[in-house]
Amino acid sequence: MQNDLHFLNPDELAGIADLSLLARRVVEGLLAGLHRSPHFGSSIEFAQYRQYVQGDDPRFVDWDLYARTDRLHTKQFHEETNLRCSILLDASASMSYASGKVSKLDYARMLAACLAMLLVKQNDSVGLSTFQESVRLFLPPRSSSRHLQRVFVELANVEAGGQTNLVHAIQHACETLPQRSMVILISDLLDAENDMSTYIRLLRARSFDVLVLQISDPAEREFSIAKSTLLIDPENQREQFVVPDDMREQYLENRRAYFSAIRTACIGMQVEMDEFDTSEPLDRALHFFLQQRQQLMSAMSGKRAGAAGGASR
Amino acid sequence: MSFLAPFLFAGSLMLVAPWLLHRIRKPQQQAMVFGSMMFVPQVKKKVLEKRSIQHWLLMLLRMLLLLILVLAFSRPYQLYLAEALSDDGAARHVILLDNSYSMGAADKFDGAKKRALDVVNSIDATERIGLIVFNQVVEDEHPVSVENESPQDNRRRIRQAIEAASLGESRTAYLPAIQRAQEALLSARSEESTTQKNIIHIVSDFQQAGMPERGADWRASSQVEFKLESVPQIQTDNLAVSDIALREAPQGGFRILGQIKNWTEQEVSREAQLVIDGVEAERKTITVQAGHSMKVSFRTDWDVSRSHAGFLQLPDDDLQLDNKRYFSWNPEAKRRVALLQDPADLRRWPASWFVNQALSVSGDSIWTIEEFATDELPSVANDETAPDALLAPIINHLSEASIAWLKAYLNQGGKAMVWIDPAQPLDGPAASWVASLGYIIEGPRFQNTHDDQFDILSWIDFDHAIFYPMRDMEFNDFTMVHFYQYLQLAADHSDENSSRVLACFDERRPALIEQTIGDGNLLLWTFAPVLDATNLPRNPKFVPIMFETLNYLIEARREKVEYAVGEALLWDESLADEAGRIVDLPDEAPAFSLTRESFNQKPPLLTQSGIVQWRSELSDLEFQYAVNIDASESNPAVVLEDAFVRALGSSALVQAYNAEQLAKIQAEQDDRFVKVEYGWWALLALLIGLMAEGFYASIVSRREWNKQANAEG
Repeated sequence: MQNDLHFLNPDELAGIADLSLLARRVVEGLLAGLHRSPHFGSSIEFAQYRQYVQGDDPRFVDWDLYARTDRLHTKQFHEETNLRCSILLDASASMSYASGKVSKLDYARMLAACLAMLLVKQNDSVGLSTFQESVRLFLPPRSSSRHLQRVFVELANVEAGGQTNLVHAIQHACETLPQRSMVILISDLLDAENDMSTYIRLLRARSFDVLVLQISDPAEREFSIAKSTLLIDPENQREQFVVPDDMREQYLENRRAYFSAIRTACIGMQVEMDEFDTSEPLDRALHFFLQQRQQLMSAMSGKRAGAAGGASR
Repeated sequence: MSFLAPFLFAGSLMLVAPWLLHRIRKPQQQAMVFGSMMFVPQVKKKVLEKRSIQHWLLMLLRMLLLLILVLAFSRPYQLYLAEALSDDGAARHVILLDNSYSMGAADKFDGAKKRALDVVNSIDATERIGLIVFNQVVEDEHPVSVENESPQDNRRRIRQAIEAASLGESRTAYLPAIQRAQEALLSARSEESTTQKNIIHIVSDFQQAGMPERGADWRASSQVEFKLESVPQIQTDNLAVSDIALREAPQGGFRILGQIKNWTEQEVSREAQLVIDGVEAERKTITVQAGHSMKVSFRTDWDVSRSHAGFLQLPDDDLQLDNKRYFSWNPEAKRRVALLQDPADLRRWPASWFVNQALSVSGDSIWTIEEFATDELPSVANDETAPDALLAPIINHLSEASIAWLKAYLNQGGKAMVWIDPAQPLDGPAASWVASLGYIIEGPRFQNTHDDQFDILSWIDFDHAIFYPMRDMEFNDFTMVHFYQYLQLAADHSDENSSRVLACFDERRPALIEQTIGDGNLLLWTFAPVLDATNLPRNPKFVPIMFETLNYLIEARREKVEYAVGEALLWDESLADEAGRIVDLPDEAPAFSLTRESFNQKPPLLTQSGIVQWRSELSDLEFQYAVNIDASESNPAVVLEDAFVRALGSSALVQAYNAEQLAKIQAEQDDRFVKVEYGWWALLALLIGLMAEGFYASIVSRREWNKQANAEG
């Protein structure tokens, strides 16, 4: 399986400088592997029948209904109801950490590019917002290929720096994104200053569907530092000597407690969250997204079906 | 401290070894950026620092051991004066307390007194102390021992003397004070033990200006030690009036030229105030760059025929005494010089014209020239009102009466400079007079004269006052002075001749003769200052020669009287009366009368700057002279301790400061020294150090081992 998905291995993908090429390779490969055409989704949704009037397009006349009822009716469809999705990408200094070839930011960048490609291929709109202490970049959701190229360029130019401050990014999203959008937060969630769950709750309060992709490095997950080292916090340059063996247990406990609290809060708010480390292929993250999107679209379809049924009656 | 094997100090390179080992064996402490620092517990830093300090201490200890090892093999030793080592325990001390005016900067003198008291307190209670308060001279002396005085009383007496010491106005001079202290110590020594230590404690700011001149070869006795107690130099805000001169201006009045020295380290602007005869004459604001001097000039139209005194003053600063400098002016009577004219129509440019031009009177010249025709000479007064000098450019034609007048004038103390014209016949009274001076007239040098035929001066007495100013190489070339004709004179050895030849041509023919006649003085040139006899009047040397000759004749070069604080007053010869004088010293004591005899017995010492005034008891004559502090004392440059000892200490003391010379002393051959080696002490220290190192290293390694065992367990 791993060999089959070599095209999703971040170490190999890191060698591809062109994000659009990388995303196309990943997304098309991924969708081909699913044996399902991405072009036959439920993007055109039936809404109701209406009595034919002169000037209506005869293509939309329901001839079956004419045969049964001897009256001309035309089908009416919902206008485009595709997903509006905005990716919030954490570009703080802590995202620059890499124990291997791929840093958290590289991984997040690749993931964001793939998600954008995937969304646009399904005629969804995608926006991009990068943040550090404040919002550094905001691209509103669009679905055009030109916009997608713009997203790739901006992703390629993102550089890590500054401190994480989710507050501003979430406030900005609340103010600028239309309701019922989907927000994908790609971050290491290392923000000791603020209570993460409070701000995710804000998003939910605005009826956003929120997906949290927590990016971590294997060395951070396991604290796999071999010898005594002077560690430097990339965000505030705080230095500390560590003796790994002495403090690994405590570290892992601290980390587990921190993310458990966030995860518990997310579950309570019906926010999907999962952790991805930079050594694993991108497919799990993309599947995770597709799965969540599918659920979301199903829920939306269910609502609309109910609404359409009511209209037909 | 010296070393018998100093080359073994090369072994100190081994000190690098522990450091290198430390660097090599030290676990590489990497620094890396780590994203999840917020989860890293903050507890172990102190442990790590402590461990690091332990390792550094161990390394320093090992380096120290290596240093001791090197030291031990270099065989350090120290030479001690055998006398000093074998003293009888008690020492005699003399404290030299500098009270020169530079010690008045800020509270330096109070600091010096405190330092002197500290010295007294630090001396063993059984040892005796003397005190000398000095500046340029020994101002106050308190002997080491007084009859029937206990050590406690001695100490109390010296303390009181220190506390009572006051600041002087003189400059520093270390030599007289040290000489006096040594004399006091060594003279007291003969009465007691001969092996006692004699220590001179010098409490001073050690100004360079106080050191003796180069070449002073006095050295302290080897039985005397110096202990220098330096009073810290204070960065003072000090400007000083370092010099002042008063000159008669050509246009009348005075020109006063003051020199302001800026001893600070920044540019300073101050107002200089000129006060003459108690009245402020002028103020000027001057700006002096750091460390530089600047001249400030004042013009006054005060009457030069009256005596004046005043001072140039700056506002007070940290060192106040050098802010004021006095000057004085005593009018000098102009000397009357009579100049005889040449016979009428003798030459286009007569000799008297050249002489008159050369000695032309300027504003500040001290003579006036009165011209007389040759036949007027006998009518010139030949008494107390006679001219101070007579210049006769050509004497060939003098009449009998004129010669008689000249002889009488000279006998009565007159001064005369006369020329013989070689182009004119010398006969009659003038020839007789020249012959009577002890010379045989042998006639002119050349039969015919022309420009290519001349003699030059082949010898000049440059030691004589006339030619002394021209002795330097720059001025002593007279080869361009040509003599086309002169009168050959030969000394008549049959007579006792009191003449002296000051310059001569070839074959020792005299060019200038000086002769004492009666109380008078005669200078006789064997040529005339005319262009057919010599080119001297056209030569640049003519004016200086005439000037110096007349100065010499009328004794114009009187030393200008200037006093510095610390000097003794001189008997003022300017006052004509020989009897009583009244003198008013700058200090606030009232004026007092003096006779020369009493003055010679004890001339007053000038201890304060100001104006000293001499008055005659018999006449209205009055002279005043400025007394100033020595400007060199303002110079804050100090002499270093070793330079001081080298300059004034005994050879033994100097050698103690000079390790290289000390090593050359063959201590075994010189029983004055005892050599003490310290190599064994260093080895002992090494042994103890090794034990300490082993102990400490075992503690550190045990801690490491325990830690590792805990981690593994």
